[in-house]
Amino acid sequence: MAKLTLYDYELDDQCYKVRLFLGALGCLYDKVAVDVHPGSEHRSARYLRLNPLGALPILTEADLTIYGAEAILTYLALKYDTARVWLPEKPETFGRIMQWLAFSGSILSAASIARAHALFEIEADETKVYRKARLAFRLMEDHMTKQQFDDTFWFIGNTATIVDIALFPNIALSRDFGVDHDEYPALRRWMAHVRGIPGFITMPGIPAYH
Amino acid sequence: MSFSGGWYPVALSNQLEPATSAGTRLFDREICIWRDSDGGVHAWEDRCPHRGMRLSFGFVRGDRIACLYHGWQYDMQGRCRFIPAHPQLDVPSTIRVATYPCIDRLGMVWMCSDLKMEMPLDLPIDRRDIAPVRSLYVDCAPIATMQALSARSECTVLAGGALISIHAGPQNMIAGFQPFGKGKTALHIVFLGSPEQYPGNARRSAAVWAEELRHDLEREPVPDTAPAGSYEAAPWRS
Amino acid sequence: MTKTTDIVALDEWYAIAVMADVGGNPIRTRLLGQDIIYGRGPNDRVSVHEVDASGRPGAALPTRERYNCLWTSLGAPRHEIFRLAEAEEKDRRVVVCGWIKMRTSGLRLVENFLDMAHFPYIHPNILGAEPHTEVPQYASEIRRDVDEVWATNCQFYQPQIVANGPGGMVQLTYRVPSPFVVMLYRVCPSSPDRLDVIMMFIQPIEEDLCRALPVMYLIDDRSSQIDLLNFEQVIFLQDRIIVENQRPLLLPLEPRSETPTRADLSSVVFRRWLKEKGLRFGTAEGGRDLV
Ligand code: FES
Ligand SMILES: [Fe+2]
Repeated sequence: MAKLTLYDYELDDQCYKVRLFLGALGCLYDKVAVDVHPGSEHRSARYLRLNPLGALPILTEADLTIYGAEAILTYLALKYDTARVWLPEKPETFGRIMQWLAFSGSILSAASIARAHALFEIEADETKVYRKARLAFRLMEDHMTKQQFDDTFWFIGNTATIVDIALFPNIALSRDFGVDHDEYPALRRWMAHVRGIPGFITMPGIPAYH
Repeated sequence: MSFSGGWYPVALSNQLEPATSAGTRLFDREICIWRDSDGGVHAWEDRCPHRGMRLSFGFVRGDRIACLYHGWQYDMQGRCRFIPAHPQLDVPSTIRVATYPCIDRLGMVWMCSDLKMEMPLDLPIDRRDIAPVRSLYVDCAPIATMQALSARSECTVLAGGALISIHAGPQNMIAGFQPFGKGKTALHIVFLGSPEQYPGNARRSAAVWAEELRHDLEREPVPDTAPAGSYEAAPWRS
Repeated sequence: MTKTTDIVALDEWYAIAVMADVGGNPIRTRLLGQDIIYGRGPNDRVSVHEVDASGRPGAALPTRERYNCLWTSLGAPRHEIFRLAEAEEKDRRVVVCGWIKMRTSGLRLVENFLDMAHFPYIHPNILGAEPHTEVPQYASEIRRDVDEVWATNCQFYQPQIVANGPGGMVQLTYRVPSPFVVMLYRVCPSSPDRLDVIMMFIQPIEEDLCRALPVMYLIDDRSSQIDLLNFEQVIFLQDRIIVENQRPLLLPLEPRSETPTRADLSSVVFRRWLKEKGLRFGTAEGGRDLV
């Protein structure tokens, strides 16, 4: 079987989404560390050939190259989760999963920008990205508040899906850019459940004990 | 109007699970709330006496909370019991965290804002059957929120401002009022009645109502008329 | 914020950029509350200027190029930048890790760097591991002849001494040559008669905001550059969530406002040294009112 290779940066929240899922699936893979900071290696010719957007994560397997956390999660779920737990095929469920993945790739990405700005001084309209990131967290909180009334601890349905994996890193790392978890009690409970997923791993900024 | 020392709700009881901790604020003062493994609730100053790390980042082990930074362990009275860097050391009893009186009531976690004050929590309602709805964090100053709520026909202010009784449609809700800090208020909303009486769909529609309330409160920001000095802003926050 | 009036802070040298990043395009940054601008002129000369209220560059500031960095001062330094003998050795591998910004006083960061007791909690399975939590007694002093703080004879159990390496007791020596520079010497795993050096240069931006740059001078021809970078950056980011959440953010010098134990000896000495110097910038006592 062809080897999975993840082009990865340890401090990147998008890469963490993929590492988290590979951990949960128990997949073996090779990790190629990319010098994002300070080297900006992800924008070098070598990496632009793999992803013309100049961003991580990138996953390769045999002839396939696929980039972007949400796309990679979807690919891995279809390929390696034969039980279809992480990405159920039922149209209603599948549709909602796509809805939240789009959320993860759009408004929630403000949280990634805010974090990169706070850590690495990446240029950003600070007021705007903070406002957007907080709005995204609020929408997640409102959703998880209502999920609790259905006695579920997951974003969709009664089991963890790739949506839980895709949404966890940004809020779990929000303190890196000064957004506390005080206002998000439902997300706090949900995060505790995500931490309980077998194979869960942390990253810097997400303390191991909590 | 202004707020004074006394009891304030700081969380919904069901949102603070056993053996977990969380941070919150009262008048912008950072507070660590935690629940021990036996279900007891605690509200402490959110600062470890050792090197000032926020204790809300810590982890609960049984009846103790351990600070994230160096793992110092504190018992339920706030007394330090174990210093991992010196495992043999008999820890002096003087090493303590400042603790606030704290209690579960009406499905909410209440704390007394005054460390020294010894006043009982006296609420006009006392029930054990509670169906929690949600905690609502509103970007609106406490004074302005209170004024806006008082002006709404469906709201009645009780208990000197700590509770708001809400009659929205057919439902009778109670909201605990938490003056979180400058420009921010938290409302902890519950139904007076059992979860069987108020099943998921009733609570869901109450949560939607709460989202709309938040929208209303944030849409027309009333200037914060709080007199100077009514906030004890944390000195390290700009 | 405006430029601090703290003479002690003003008269120090600060690393503000990695030399490789100093080019023709002027770059603006801030030091001790003062906006400054640096760049390389047409004759390849590197200069740093204060930027006045109207946005125009003012008088030129003193500069030095040392340890792969550009250094400057807003005052009149009474001494040269500290000397690191190891940096002159030809076989040293230099790893410049990249700046990281932190919402805290730079002095909190120095103390975090000096601290071993947090290894098992904040860097579990890298720099420490439960149950090996004990900090054996070590020595710390102000060296009057050089006006530096040192901590010697430090030992701690580390499960991984280098990237992907085995565990054991490490021998460490800490050195604080100026209030915003801290470094450690570690017995080199591959040649035990020599010392690896890990330094941290801090650029205090405001009282409670700084950026920091780890720079390592290692004896290591085996590890890949990226592994060394990752190792250091992971550790650095694990510490960041701590130092941004200590209260107050500014370092208290008053001994009774926190609770030091024997393991905190180096921090006690560091605070005493700062107090003697009369440094106020970034301290809880002298800091501006942040309300
Ligand atoms: S700061 Fe809490 S144990 Fe050190
Ligand atoms: Fe550390």
